[in-house]
Amino acid sequence: MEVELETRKRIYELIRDSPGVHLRELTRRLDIVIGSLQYNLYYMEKKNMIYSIKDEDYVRYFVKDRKFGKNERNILFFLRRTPCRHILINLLQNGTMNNKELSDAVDLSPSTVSWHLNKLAGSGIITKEKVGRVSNFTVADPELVAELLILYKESFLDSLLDSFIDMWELDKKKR
Amino acid sequence: MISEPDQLITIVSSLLALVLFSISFLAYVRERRKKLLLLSAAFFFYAVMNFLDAGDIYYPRVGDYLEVWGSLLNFVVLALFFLALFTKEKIDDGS
Repeated sequence: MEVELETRKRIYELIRDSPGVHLRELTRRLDIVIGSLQYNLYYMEKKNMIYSIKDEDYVRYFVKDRKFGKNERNILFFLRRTPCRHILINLLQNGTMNNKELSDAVDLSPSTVSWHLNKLAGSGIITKEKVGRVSNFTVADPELVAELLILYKESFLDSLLDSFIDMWELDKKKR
Repeated sequence: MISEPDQLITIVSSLLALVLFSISFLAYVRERRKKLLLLSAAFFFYAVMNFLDAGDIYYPRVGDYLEVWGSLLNFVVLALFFLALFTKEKIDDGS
């Protein structure tokens, strides 16, 4: 899952930055075997992230402008927050995790992770299931979150706000 | 008019305080944490304090009046930073 996501993100970003790029050029610049590249391009076309146009010599790829629905905008809002993004990536990779496992994975204190988990659960992006005294968390729609992770692009403003929050230690790292 | 280097520094400080207020307020809008609201309020009043200082360049005759407000804002800014420092966020640990 992690490798696939990373590969698709790289493909998407190259097509976004070089509109009209063709298959051979993509292979050369991304250093991905052609079979895997074709499979990922097919998946991304099916998911409406990109589209292709065939000219005389090549099939050229372009990113699709898409309008986001309310639910998608909500997920993107959380993806803009670095700790939430890391939590969601870990949940996508492992399926179900509890607070302690996530806290170890994202290297933040359990109370900070809990803060973000409650926000994510409150907005319906993840589901919370209590087993005894432990709460397990799962991404409600992994397909959609994975898709939006490919489209997500960190802006300068978001990294600036993350730095500001780090400076005031609102997202406490584990000591 | 701006004629002295210290006047220019006052103007630049005011603008910098305004930038810091914008960043802290945007961080609050994104995160909705009380600590960030206190910080953005502190930077806002700090910017106001600096603009009052800068105002002294253009309206020197209201100097005494501005000084009182300046001192008061100075206290407000420090109090807000102090409050932000000791603000604990209520966190439900989910267990």
